[in-house]
Amino acid sequence: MDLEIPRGRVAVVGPNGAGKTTLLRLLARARAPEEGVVEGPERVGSSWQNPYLSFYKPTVLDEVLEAVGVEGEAFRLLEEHGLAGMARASPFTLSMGQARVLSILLATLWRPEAVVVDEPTTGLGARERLSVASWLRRLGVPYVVATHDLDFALVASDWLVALDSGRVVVEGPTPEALPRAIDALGFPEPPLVRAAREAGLGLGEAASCIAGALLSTP
Amino acid sequence: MHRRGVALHPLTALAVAAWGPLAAWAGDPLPPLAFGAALASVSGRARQLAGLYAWLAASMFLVGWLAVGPEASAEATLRALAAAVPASAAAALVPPQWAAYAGYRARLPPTAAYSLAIALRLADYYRSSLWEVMDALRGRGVRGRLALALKAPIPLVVHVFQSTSALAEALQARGPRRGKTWAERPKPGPLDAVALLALGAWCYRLLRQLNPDFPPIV
Repeated sequence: MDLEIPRGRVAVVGPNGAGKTTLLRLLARARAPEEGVVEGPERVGSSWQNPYLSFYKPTVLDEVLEAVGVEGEAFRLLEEHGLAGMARASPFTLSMGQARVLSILLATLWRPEAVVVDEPTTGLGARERLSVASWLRRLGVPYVVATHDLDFALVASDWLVALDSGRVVVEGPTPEALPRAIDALGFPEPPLVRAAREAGLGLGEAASCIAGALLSTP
Repeated sequence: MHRRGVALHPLTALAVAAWGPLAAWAGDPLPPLAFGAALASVSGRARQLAGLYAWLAASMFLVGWLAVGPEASAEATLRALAAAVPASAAAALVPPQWAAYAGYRARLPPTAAYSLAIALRLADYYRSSLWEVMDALRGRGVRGRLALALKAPIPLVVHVFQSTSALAEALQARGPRRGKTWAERPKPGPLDAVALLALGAWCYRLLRQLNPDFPPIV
């Protein structure tokens, strides 16, 4: 695979077994390539498919407090990410969506140069998926997210890489690359893309509308 | 998973497992050790098992050195390896369904026979979970082997409890009872013949050493 990923908001899409997670592990320096080299940031935060595996403190507050060091700041972060109500709860009692948010938050708090997030929509409902996508966009850290959810990729990314059987089949700016990826991968047209087409909107415009609407929703 | 045709009958595995302690007691630990190493290599798990053996040998030798000196420690380590290597390599070659059948024939309760097979199947799963936990912790900035070793047990234990609870419910739902397990009657193969020949030859040599009047085969 010869792939150059721009710094920013990137989604890697593809069917099961396409090599998305392997690519993320290489980018996160969690695995060394069998051949060739991976060039890029050394300090890479990561959040994997099972978010609960990254927790080890007794409470949600303690998890964040360990990273930021100041209780007031930890509370502020939890409030900002909708987790203040669970501050004194064990992180293992969080719902999948909450655990996902906490896991991604923890991956960004140690000031990595970039973050990789693997299948962030697993176990989430339709609205939660798009909330996580719009929330990701606000992170302020370059990220690469692997997903098989094309609607999520549309809202969460500016650059899209489609993989199939370990090969790059499509790459480019998300609004242009997504329809080509749908064709190349043989995926059914996802609801957002269909709705945008039927409404006569460009995909970039539709993604901005959705992200904006979600961000303005309390 | 077991390679096709490369499997040991549970009774052969039991005999090979007993060979190590017997040889250690007889002061002749090298033959079962060498045979165990050969079994480990044909099992396709040589790399995983080698790590386990290296850890066992190093820790035992160090503790023994402090307690009884280097020579006695080396001998004790060799004997421990002679017991551990053939037993673990033989166990790795018993397909879980065959182990379940052995448990069923040994009049173990059905749940125990199930559990035996499942425990063997889950060994790989939990090993990969350990790597996932390590990746998850590194992804939130945990650095250093000591920090990882201290923090990894917490998510790992929670994960094991959660997954085994789910497994227990699934098992209960399937209603295990005598005769309704994943048991499969073991079929002896060429590897059994090789193992029994090697064990027989060693036993014969031991008997000749203990009693020079023991009649020769030829």
